[in-house]
Amino acid sequence: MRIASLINLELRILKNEFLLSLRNKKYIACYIIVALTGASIYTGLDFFLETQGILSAISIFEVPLTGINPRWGSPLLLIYSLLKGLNPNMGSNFFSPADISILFVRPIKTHEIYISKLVRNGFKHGVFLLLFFLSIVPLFSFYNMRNMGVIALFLFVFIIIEITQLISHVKFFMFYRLYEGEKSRVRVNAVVLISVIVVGGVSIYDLLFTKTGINIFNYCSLLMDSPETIISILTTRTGLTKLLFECFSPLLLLLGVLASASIGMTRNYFGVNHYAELALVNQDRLFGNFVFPFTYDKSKNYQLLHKDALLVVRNYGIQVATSLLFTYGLSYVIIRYRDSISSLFLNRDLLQSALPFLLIIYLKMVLVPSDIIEKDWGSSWLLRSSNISQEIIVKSKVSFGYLTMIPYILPLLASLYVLENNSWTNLILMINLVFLYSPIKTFTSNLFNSGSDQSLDLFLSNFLQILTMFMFWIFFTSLFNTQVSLMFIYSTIIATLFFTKYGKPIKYYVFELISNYYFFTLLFAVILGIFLMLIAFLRTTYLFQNSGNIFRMIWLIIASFSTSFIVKDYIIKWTMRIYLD
Amino acid sequence: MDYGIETKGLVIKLNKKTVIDRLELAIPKGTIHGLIGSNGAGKTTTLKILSGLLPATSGTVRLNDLYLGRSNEKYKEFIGYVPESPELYGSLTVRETLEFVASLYYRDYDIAEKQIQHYIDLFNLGEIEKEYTKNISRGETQRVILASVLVHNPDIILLDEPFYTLDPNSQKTLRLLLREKRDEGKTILLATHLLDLAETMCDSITLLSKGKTLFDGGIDKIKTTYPGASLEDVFITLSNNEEMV
Repeated sequence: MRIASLINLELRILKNEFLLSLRNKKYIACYIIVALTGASIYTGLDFFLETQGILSAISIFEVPLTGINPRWGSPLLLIYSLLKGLNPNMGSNFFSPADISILFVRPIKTHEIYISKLVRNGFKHGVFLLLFFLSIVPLFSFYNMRNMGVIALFLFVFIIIEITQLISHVKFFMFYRLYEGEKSRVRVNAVVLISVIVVGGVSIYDLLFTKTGINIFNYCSLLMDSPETIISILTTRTGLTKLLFECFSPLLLLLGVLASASIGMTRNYFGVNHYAELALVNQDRLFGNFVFPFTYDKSKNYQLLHKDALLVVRNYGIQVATSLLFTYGLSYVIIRYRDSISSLFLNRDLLQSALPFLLIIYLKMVLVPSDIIEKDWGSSWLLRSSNISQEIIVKSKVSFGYLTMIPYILPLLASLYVLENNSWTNLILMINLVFLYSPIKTFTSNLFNSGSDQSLDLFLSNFLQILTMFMFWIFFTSLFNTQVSLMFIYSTIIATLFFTKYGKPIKYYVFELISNYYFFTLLFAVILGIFLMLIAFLRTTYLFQNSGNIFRMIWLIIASFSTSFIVKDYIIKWTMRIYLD
Repeated sequence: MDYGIETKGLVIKLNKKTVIDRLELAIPKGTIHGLIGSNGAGKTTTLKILSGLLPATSGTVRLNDLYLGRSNEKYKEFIGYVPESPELYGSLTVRETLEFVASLYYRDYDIAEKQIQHYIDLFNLGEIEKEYTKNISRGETQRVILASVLVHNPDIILLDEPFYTLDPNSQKTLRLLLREKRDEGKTILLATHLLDLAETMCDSITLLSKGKTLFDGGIDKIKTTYPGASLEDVFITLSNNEEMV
């Protein structure tokens, strides 16, 4: 009965969150954007699938699975889940402060609370996945996938998501138990360090002393030896049965084992309450009691950076170290096995269109310190308790974002350079996106206050981040491929923006003239941007054909970086406006 | 004597620091006991242990003849705990919050509804019962938490600075209610640093300083030991002595 009340509570909270958001124009605007994006994907796919020239772009689905060795996939998933488990702040998202006041002090078993949270997360993931599946319906129709095939695919993806979540929980509870007390903390650190040295040593041996690479990463793979294609499995009756038995059975078994393990760990586990309390205490310590010289001196900008760096080192030290090692390990695997990985992407356009998503997933996955900045931001602690202006705070957050990105981005860029057959064009585009990531993240986090644990806020903030990054990606690729006349017009707009923004008009009439021109050019820039994006969208397959053209390369460097720079400044301005509200 | 709350040799260490050092509490049923001390004295930590939120490093805790252990569902059946900074689910209305809490204790919907209505009237929550709790003030949040804690009529009531954010009317209501609960035989432990309030409300007190007990006994005992001195004077004198030691 109590578990029913708890599940009812969680679902009611989700429902109320949604109903409450309908009262806010900001959220309604975002829902419209989400719906339009879904509709664009739907109609875009429909259009592309009818065009013969584009078929090759999705030919990966017809590639026989024999011979594709996903040996690097399993260990990466394991390392990723381990990293999630090591995150000491992870629990604060799973249990909220209200859980302490309302649930943990009531006669409810801890594992009942845990199960209700799992149901809530499962429901949430299911709804978001359903929205995604609805937007790619043309793909299913194109391959004549039967309803059962679509349902099987849906369940497959859903189970994978839930498994990843449960792995993180099991790791976390184990980690928490290990981490209790100073002595065991030292022991855990030692284990992590030794593991890293062992794995690193074997990798170096693998790289230096074997020609083909020993199969240390060759874990079991469910589909590895299957002679069929993904589509044939999903669209035929026997294939589906095979998938259900060969894939779902072990996955469901794994899901069951992980669920029992995590529930078992919370059952009668006194420490979970303790841990939930500690998560809050930790947050208080982070943002409430930090000793900081509040008399801000403009000549000492490093004070803010120093504070953020200290917070990251104190609270995320071990995770920063492990995620950096993970990043360099990933880079090593990509460079070492570049031929196998390249063979996965038979069509270059596919890799091209997948790149922004891969980049965003990567940035969101490994950039640990950005979490702390987001939470710090959400609490508005600095603004409330210091004499530092919001402009300096926003700029400091963005600057710190850049600083923390550098060690993560370098190996990524090296890997992409190798993967993309030494193409500089993509490097330039990637650097632009990375440059824009920090202000966009700061902006969307602030817009939706993602320091809070509201599911909707987190979803919309992440959605907008991904959408904006993707739109800039398309925009920059279209800049590269655009006609000379359009290049000239765009250059004029950029020059005007720079002039009106950074120049100081002397006479009033000049100011007025420029102001008007400024407004019209801005409007024109927006219209042109949309137009260029549309062109790029329709001509995806023909992009990057002229990558050897030096003139276009120079144009891309100048135009993309100056655009990014202006966009960054505007995002900071908008962020400050929202921050003040 | 029949004790509502009893602790023996209670020690709590957090991050190598001793927060509570051998705390001995023996609070008879039907009394209001004050846990008094300055900031960082260990009042909140003690309440968190008694409510089952934090594990003690050593020592025993017994509430209504039940020992605090690893599985505390039965133990929590008769506790009502008001935390120092309570949080509510912002997306639930005041009534929905109370309904959820009541559903954990009552199988009979009518009885639950009657109790909810009683406390909504008592704490003057009628006007905001359909408001989402994210939109209500700090004082109103405190009143909602008090109602949610008392809705199942607990035998042991643990209160951490409950008067802090309340308006004068609500303070008066709570004072009267606590006295009424005491007369019904409930055991009330009140953590506060408001000494005037403790002096007028409590039957007995424990003075804490940096986790150590400076004084434990009835209000009468203070008056006989320190004739003419107020509770504030006694607290300051004992705290200074402790620091000198």
